[in-house]
Amino acid sequence: MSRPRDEASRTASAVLLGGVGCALALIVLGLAAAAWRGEPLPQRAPPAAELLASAAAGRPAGLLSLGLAVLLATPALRVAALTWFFARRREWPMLAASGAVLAVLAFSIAAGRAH
Amino acid sequence: MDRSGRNARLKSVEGFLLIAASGALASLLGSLVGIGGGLILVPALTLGLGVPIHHAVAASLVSVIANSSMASIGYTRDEITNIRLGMTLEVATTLGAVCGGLAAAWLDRQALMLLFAAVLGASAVQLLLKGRRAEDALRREEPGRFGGRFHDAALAGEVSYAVRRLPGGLALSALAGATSGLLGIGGGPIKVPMMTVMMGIPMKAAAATSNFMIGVTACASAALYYGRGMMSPAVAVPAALGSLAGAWAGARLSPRVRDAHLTLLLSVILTLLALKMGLEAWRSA
Repeated sequence: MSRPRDEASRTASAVLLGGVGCALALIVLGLAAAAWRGEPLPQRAPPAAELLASAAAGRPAGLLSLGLAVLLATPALRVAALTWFFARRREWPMLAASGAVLAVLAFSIAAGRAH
Repeated sequence: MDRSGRNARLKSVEGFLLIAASGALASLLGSLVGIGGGLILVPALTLGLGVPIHHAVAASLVSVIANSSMASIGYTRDEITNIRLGMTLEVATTLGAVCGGLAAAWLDRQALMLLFAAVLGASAVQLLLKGRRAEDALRREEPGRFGGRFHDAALAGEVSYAVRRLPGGLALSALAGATSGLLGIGGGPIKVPMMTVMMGIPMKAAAATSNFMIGVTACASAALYYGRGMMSPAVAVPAALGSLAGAWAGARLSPRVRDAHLTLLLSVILTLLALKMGLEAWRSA
């Protein structure tokens, strides 16, 4: 197989591993915090504006919700990383494809929030 | 802690484990055949565990993303995933999903569900007839621009394949995205049969590439559920953990399973989904 595909595979695999790893670490910390405090798992996530502060304070709801947020963002981060990869390699057709996916993703999130 | 407290805790631990087990099973099957597993998980959560539907759908989206991400770590590392093809088809899928989501308010849901049930049933039959006719033999085609190569552990050799009918694949990917936006389900049940039967891609590569794509499709919807406060960590966290475990197991198991067996498994799943969709459409009449 040609080298660019190998490196694209390594890039995608590394970003996915990093995203899943960070998410898993935050979730495990959140579960440990909940067990330490003797609290049940929260039914609601804190508001987005308070998410980082809640997680930094070691609250189970903040840690668990931040872990979920990182997990949800991982596919988008993968697309962004591959966009950067194709831009560095000047693979213009693939750069156009991955850039289009990022743009549509951003549009659909923005359109949904507007509703 | 009094008895009622112990019972509540036992229930919550029991509930956690049941949700995690549901996520693991859904992701194991989903990672093997390239579908998200949400179609398995949502009924398990709502009917089996009494989880409210919006929490179940949100947890299902988390499960799909966990499945997609975890399975793709192994599949991309082993270069079974066709990244170039997946990124190209993703353009059509995401555009289709946006159009489907925007059109959902104007189209008859029952008619769409019946149509989708028919498509699933036809896909299951096509897979059985055409997908299994191709023997598990090492393919040595010149990959071309969008083809790929990977080591198939079940066949103990390298498979090299070309991609056919890309324009048709793009059109069906857009349709898969549109059904995702219209019906709120993943596009894997359309994309995997499309890639194997129409585009000539080996089942393992098709499942891996579909796994690669479905996370992106679920990402936008999941962000909406999260932003609107409809994601319950009490349900989503065990679903995520179970799904990560199931996807990890599926990605390790898949290379050792023959394509013919994966095709049969997908055909059975598609048939069951077609029946379920048809029944839901009939009940909603």
